[in-house]
Amino acid sequence: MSKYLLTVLRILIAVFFIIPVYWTFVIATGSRGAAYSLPPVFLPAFHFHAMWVVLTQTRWFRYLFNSVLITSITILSVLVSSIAAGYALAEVRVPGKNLIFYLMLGVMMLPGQALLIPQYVVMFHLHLLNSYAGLILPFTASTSGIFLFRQYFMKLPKSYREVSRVENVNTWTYIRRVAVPLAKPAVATVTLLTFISTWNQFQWPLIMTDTTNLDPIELALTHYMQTYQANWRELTSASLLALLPIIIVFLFTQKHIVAAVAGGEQGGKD
Amino acid sequence: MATVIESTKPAFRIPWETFLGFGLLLPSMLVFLVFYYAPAVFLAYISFFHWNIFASQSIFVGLSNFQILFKQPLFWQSLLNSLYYAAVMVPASTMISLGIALLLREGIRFKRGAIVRSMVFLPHVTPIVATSIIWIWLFDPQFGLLNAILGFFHLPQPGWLASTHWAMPAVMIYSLWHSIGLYTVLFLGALTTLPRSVLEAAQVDGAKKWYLFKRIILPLVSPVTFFVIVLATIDSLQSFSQIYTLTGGPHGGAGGPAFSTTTDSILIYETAFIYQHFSLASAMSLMLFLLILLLTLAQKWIADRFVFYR
Amino acid sequence: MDAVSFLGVSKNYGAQSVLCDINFSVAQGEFLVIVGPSGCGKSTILRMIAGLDHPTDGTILIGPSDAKHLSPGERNIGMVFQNYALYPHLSVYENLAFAMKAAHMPKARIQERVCKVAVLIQLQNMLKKKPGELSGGQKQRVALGRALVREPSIFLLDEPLSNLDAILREKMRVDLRQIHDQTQISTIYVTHDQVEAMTMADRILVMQKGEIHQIGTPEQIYAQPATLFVARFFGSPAMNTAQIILHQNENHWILSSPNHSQPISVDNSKMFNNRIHHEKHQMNVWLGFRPEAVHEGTGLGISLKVTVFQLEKLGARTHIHAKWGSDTFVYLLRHDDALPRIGDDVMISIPYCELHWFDQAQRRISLDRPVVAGNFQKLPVAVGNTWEA
Repeated sequence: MSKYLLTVLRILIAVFFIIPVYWTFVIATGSRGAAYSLPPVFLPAFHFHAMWVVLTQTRWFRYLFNSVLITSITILSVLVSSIAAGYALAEVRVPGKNLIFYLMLGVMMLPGQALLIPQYVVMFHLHLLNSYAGLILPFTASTSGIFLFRQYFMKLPKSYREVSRVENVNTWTYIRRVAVPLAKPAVATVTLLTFISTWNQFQWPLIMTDTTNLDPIELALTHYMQTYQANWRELTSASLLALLPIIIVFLFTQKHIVAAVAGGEQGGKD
Repeated sequence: MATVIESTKPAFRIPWETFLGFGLLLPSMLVFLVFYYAPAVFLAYISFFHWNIFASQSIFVGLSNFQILFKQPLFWQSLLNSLYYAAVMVPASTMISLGIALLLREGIRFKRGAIVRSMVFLPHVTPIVATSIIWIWLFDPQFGLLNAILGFFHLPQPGWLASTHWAMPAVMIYSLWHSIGLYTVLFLGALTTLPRSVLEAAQVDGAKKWYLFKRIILPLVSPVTFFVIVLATIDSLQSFSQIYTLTGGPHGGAGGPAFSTTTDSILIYETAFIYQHFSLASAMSLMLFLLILLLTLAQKWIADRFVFYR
Repeated sequence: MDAVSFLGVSKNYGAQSVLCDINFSVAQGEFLVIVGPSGCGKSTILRMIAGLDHPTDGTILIGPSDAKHLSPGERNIGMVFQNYALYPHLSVYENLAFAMKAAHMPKARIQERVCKVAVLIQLQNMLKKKPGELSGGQKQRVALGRALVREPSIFLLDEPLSNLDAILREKMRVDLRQIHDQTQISTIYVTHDQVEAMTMADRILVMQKGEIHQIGTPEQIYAQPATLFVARFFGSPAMNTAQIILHQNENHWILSSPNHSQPISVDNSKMFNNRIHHEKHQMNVWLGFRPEAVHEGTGLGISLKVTVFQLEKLGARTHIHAKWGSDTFVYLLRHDDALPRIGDDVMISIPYCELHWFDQAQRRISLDRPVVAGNFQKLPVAVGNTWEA
């Protein structure tokens, strides 16, 4: 009996977490007025007209371009800066390394909401408001990325670097050809987590821009909320389009993401 | 075979390594210093000035920003709203996620269990605005799915986001939906690393389930519990995007109805970027900074006494 | 000109001294084996030659130049690490070609060199495999190949065979020596295994606790160990040693043990002629003799009565463990000799020329030359006899 009950409970939990995403799909592809039917319609009707309207009659591709541009440059920069700093912390003798280590750790402790005002002032004085640079630069370094790479590099046998030193291979080639290829899981993790956090960014672009030309999708959705006040099919179609990349990436990499977040190896086994 | 190597290069090996290290650290350090540490220091500074960033003029006003702030009823209400939100969110998300983790623990080694875990985790990676949109519709008093279900069971159907009493709980439900997956996965990580021998030994001893939970599982996951509580506290005191979107931010009415969901983050945002009152907003930011710092330190103090580290 | 020279090199880690005043040199084309127990500083010597460690004091010459001015990459060294340090994500070919690619050498030349080495290490058809797919011996060969492919002028090997099983190790010993004979590269080989040292080396450098005990050919090391440590370290089973009191009474020598009362009979007609310059005509020494020098019966040099307590039958020969008072000795009998039984008392004798004598500081002494008793200094750097002179 209790085993049955537990299974039902598990299914209910899964349904609770997944139904809003499903519901977005139902409303977005339902027939006209289906959103307002009582009792609600539970099955999608696969009408993609509303989505077509969003794609063709709005600046969707402009927003998509912004999102892709910001996300891809951010990911690349985070990878480069984290690999460099992680390598320095793991392998290079730098005076004051402990202080630097704690300084990086400290960034994680700073409450973001409390910093927005002075950050805005700094961005203003650096002339970075309303620019792609302003949306990207502050996120080009990542403490967790640095620590992850540091951890991976420290696990490499010391003799790898020593062999390359004896063979007259410079540090840069060693990092590129040996250290990074051997830290591939870290590259994947940092790429995924940076992708998710950058793609989902909302408050920063909301504050740092006042032109819609630079808006990433997530911010642009608020404009759709204004335009399509009661047009739920178009509105949910837009949010479905914004969700899709995340969901697709998640479907293919969920084990890796869950393992990366849990920080253990438990995700890799099953 | 001998290679004659004539070298005139002086040996500057150690400075070179230092040079290399700092070169590699520079990009990250620069970003952290310019965009995080400088603003953090700056925050304390501008809180004591009457400040107009666009004209770059500042007059030292001492504590007067704080005096004005403390006389604002809205400031106190936003503080209360934040504490209300955190007081519900922190225990609720910790307990619910631990419960779900315990429920999923046994099945996690099988494929179906892993799928459920992924479904629970999925909301955490979804963008907030995109999913808030559907939740606004789910919360719709008339046509929303939530009230339809409540109606089916003949339960009262509240006005959710339109009601001053229910707007905050609605935001909480959304936030729980969005954040619990993360905490569940953290707990699951801790639960799967529990030494099987400990649990089995306890079961052999004929321990009751509740006793097992209280005496064995809870102490062993206490480090993660502490981590989750700290994370949830910091997170809930800084919630912005979901409140902004769910309570009508895009239409200019974030924090409504009637300021019932105006938390500190929302108030800071509106004071600074709607009403352009930067000095007051930074005074509030400083208060929030100190509040979070104090709470974290207090939690650390408590944890040092009660958390069992293996 | 020597390939490598150490001139008064010392190395300290903080207050801890790892190497103390090390002097030696490696000739061009020589195969030098540095041997000693773990922690004796032998790997540190190798790492200093490679430039991965730096001496606290003293000078290292690589060819004609002071190593201080050379980065590891400029020393033209090939090095093989104990754990092989093969890059696991690269194929054998890429591992061999890695450094040359990094130096932007033309592709054709890289290929030519890799193929040449592949033949030398007999891995022509393994080039496409990853290190993970290779056996321990094959990995070892790739590590050798990677060091050789750069055509180094000095070849450094840090316990390269210690991760292999016994059979492979024997084969690799022969192969390594063969590769050296073909390439004639000056080689410095670090090991803790005395058999490797004896079988492969042109010269052996024996170390303990950061000091050199002896440098010499395997024959010299075996026949004339400079210290008690060297004497015990080489040979299997190890040399028998015992503390002995030497007493001279007119032209008679009387030997006895300081630890027990078992007698030693001495054939004085064949004993040494020298006198002990000491007022009591007496001194404490260490006596050593190799198991294979022992004969059953009496008459030669010195004779002892021992009690057999264990037999180890190894097929071709048998190791006999026997007690002489509180001292234990091992000696060998051929398989067709009549074996004693456990508990038997047996007379054994050792010819005079097979005896090794060491003073209280455990340095080799010769009783054919005048002996000055009671003057025991710190262990000197004993340099292998005629070789250096």
